[in-house]
Amino acid sequence: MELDAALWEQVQQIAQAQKWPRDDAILILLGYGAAVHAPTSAGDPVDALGAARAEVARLRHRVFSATEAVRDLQMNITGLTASIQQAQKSLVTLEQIVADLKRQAARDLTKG
Amino acid sequence: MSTVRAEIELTTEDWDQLAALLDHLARSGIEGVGWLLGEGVRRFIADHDAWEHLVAAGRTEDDPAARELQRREAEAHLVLMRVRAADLEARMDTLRATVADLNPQYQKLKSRLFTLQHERRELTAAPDLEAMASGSDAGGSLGTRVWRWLVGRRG
Repeated sequence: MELDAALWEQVQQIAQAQKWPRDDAILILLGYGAAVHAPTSAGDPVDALGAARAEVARLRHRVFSATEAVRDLQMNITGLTASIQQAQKSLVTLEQIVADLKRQAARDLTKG
Repeated sequence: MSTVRAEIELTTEDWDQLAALLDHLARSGIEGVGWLLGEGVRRFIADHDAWEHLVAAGRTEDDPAARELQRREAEAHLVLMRVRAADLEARMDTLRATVADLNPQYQKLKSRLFTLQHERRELTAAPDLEAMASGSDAGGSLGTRVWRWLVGRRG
C-alpha cells in the first residue's frame, strides 16, 4: 500500500524508539488504530483488558510452541539429510565390495 | 505529496475484522487501512504521553484510563502476534512435510544397506568345516556352499 512519506517517517521514528522491527511496527500501529476505533463489546474495561491479555498469553504460547517445533524439525531435517548422504556414500562402497566378492567367488568356482 | 510503498501481511481473521471496522467507520479498502495506520500513529503518540503522565502521577494501577491504554496496547500487539503465529505454523507444516518425505528415503537406504551387509557377510563368512564334515550343514552360507563346492570338485 502507498503511505504518505510523513506518516512513514513517524512509523520509523516510533519503531526506533520502541525498538520494534519496522515491519512489526506497521502491524502494531495498525492494530493500535483498530484498538482505538473498534466498538467496545465488553462494557467492563477490566474485562476488556483481561480478555486482551488472555489472548496475548494464548498467542505467545502458540508462537513459543511453533518456534520450538520449527527448531526441532530443522534439527531433524539436518540429521536426516546428513544420514541420507552418508548412507548413499556407504551404499556405493558396499555395492562395489559385494560385486567384487561375487566376481571373486565366480572366479574361484570356474578355476576349480 | 511523496509516498512510500509498504507491504503488510495480515491473517484472514484480521483482514475480515479490519474490513468490518472500516465499513463501520465509513472507510474502505487500502486507503482505509492507510487511514487507520495514521490513526494508530497519532493515537499511539498521544497515548504514550498520557501514559507518561499517569506514571508520573502514580496512577497506573486500577485507573480506568490506564486500563484503557493497556488494553489498546495489548490489542495492538495481537495483530502482529497472530501473523507471527500463522507464519510459524505454516513453516512448521512445511518442515513436517519435508521430514515425512525424507524419512522413507532414509528407511529405504537403510534397508538396502542392511541387505548388502548381509550379502557381504555371507560371501566372506569362514566355512563351517565341522558342519561340513558331519554333513549337517545342508544349506549353509554362500561362503560355505562355495567352499563345499570347491572341495567337492577338487576331491
